[in-house]
Amino acid sequence: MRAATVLMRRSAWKGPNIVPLPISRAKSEGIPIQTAARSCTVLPSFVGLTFQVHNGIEFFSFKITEEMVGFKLGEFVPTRKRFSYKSENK
Amino acid sequence: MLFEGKHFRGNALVRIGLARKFYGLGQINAERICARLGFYPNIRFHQLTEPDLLAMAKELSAYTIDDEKRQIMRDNLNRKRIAGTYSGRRHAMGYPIRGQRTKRNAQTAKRLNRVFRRGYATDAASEFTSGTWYRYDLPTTYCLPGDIWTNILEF
Repeated sequence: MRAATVLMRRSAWKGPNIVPLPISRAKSEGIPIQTAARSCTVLPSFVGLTFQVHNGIEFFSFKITEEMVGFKLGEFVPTRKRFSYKSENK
Repeated sequence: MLFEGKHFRGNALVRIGLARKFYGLGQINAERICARLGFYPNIRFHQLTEPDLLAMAKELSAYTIDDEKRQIMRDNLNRKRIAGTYSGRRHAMGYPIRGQRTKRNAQTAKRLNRVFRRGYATDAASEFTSGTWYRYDLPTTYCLPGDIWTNILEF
């Protein structure tokens, strides 16, 4: 884990935001973890797991890689749609 | 006059000239350098002697400045982009990062926000050296590796 990404955002004495998640179960059974805790910090133990994180409407699936450690789960799941013009042929 | 490969006006204040020409130095560090060498605050470049310049160059070598400093900033940005964070994506698109509006304004973000961000400190144009590991000139759609990015964009 890169210390700076955690330490510069939050008081050091608090440590990372840890949310109870079924990590061990997901690891043994290979199932994705469905959660709405977007503010949960990605810990080194999450690497390789598949997460389904809520974006406000549905659960968005993605896999945790080495680089994502230290960021929050919600940072990888956008909550807004890209703007596009309505199609004319309707 | 020439100092550390940069041109300085002779009548420029040393503490201000240093801060303006070296990226990552700033007024406080520049003043600190002057103070440590025993220059009086309003000393100008044409008043410096050769030993003074050498001593100043030695003091400067202790700081992380210019290309090294820019590289640190770009590495930090690139790490965010590789990880696939919202912040990295906004940087790549040239939009504000922290929830500011984009309907109008957002001009500072348009000017500055790049993955390969320019570090402004000199009045000489900073050159775009190397950088084959990313494409800053293409829209976001083309420069995002990994399945996460394609998923996000389709979504």
